Amino acid sequence: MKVAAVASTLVIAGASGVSSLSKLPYWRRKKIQLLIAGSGTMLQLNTALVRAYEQQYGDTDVVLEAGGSTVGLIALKSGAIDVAAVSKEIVEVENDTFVRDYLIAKDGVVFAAHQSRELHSLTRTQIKALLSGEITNWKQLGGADGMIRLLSRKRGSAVRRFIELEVVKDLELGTEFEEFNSANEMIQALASDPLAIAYFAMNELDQNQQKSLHIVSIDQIAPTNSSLLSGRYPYTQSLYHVMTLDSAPSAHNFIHFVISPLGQRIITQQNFIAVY
Amino acid sequence: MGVAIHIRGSTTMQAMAGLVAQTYMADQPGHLVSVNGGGTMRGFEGVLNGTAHLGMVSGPISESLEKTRLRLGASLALFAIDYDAMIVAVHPSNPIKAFNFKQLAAIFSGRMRNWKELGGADAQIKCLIGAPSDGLTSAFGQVILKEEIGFTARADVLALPERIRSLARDPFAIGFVSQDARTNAIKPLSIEGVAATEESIRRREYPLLLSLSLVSNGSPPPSLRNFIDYYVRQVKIQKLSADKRVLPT
Repeated sequence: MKVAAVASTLVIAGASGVSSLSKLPYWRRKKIQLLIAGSGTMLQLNTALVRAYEQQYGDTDVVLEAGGSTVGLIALKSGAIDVAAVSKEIVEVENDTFVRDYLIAKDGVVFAAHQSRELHSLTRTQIKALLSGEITNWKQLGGADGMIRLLSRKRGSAVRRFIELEVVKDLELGTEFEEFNSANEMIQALASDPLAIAYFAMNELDQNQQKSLHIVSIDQIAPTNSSLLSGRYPYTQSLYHVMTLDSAPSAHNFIHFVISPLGQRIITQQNFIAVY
Repeated sequence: MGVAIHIRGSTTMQAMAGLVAQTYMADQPGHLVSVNGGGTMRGFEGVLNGTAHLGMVSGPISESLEKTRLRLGASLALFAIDYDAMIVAVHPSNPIKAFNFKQLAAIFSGRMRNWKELGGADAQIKCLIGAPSDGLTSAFGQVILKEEIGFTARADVLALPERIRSLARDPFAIGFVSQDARTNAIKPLSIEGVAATEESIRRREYPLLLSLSLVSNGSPPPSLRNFIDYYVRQVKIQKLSADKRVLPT
């Protein structure tokens, strides 16, 4: 299996995949080829799924690339790839190419405060005001006077992208925050500072961390399997594998595998929410 | 092995569906219900292409999806769940208070283009509509534009929250929103002499009602049928209870 880093320019997966495969001597080329591209958010999850799939289907060689959900969909519709990985809702309905978007997992973005803080829930309006820099002091959120230390992720990270597109939305992200590279770094910073608040993608947190962190409800809704599946938790992200009616049998097989109990077990192991 | 039910479609129905789904999962451990939006046409498409077990639909199927349905030889089963209303609204400063269907047809088809034709200011009428995937838009078009070719090409296509924001800002805008989503920042119009109030809607006197339904591909199997019956019961319970079904926006 070949995994490429997140592409910064438009990459049609088919072209690069075929050229690298053709360098192999003919007896080493597998019979079936499967080209998957799209969401960078789903890259790690797809890597785990593809690894398990290749073990099960030894005759399939999978090429997995990123490039973004939109790029993946374009590549799928042009016939360049077999499966697009998409981490947003496909809203446009195009009937010249009948896409089949299979929901394969859900995830959520959560906010965590320091253990000592008496904070049960924040509203979406408060979260937006916090992230846009309108709210800067804990007393504006019903706490004691103290400057809020907002812990954020470096630009380019998937969870930061979700925050910008789906949480802050029409507002601009503020400038008063510290940037970290990883969830673990943020957890450490959070643990030592009662004034801090941080955001995470749920899949970045293992079971223990999800239990031990002081995760805040949003609009009184706590992020649980049930509230993410039902969509009641506001910052839910849905993950899809998309193929077309004309997709090769290997695409059908792969998606069938992903929604099977084994595929869904891998999804749970990766700390995403299973949907079957 | 538990049951997994994937529902998708109308954003008007999403909040209620989420409540029913969460209650169902609490009542039936091991069962899983996933709810997604995307609009009414995603609901129809999902059940037609096998990516959803149930669609939430607040409007009629589009022409192109109907063609797909016929091509597939599929039959869709519709289950009426509830109804909302299509509220026609303008900016609070607009002196207009009421319209009939003929006037709405003239405005939204683009035949009537200036507020002065209705006794208002000399200004272009700005029609606000939703995307083709939107059930509310489809339903409004089906009732109001029966004799017309379609919505005016001059209309602004915006999602519901943006339409509401525009109506609150633009004194020359007119648009339709769901009763669920309407706010005090916009002015609802009486239609065919009936004011758009909670009561006129509840009593089904208001003429622009929006039917909210679940749709399945063919007759639903027992597990899905059980869920649909549960859904219908839950909606009745929710309506009887003091808490409104509208979730915080």
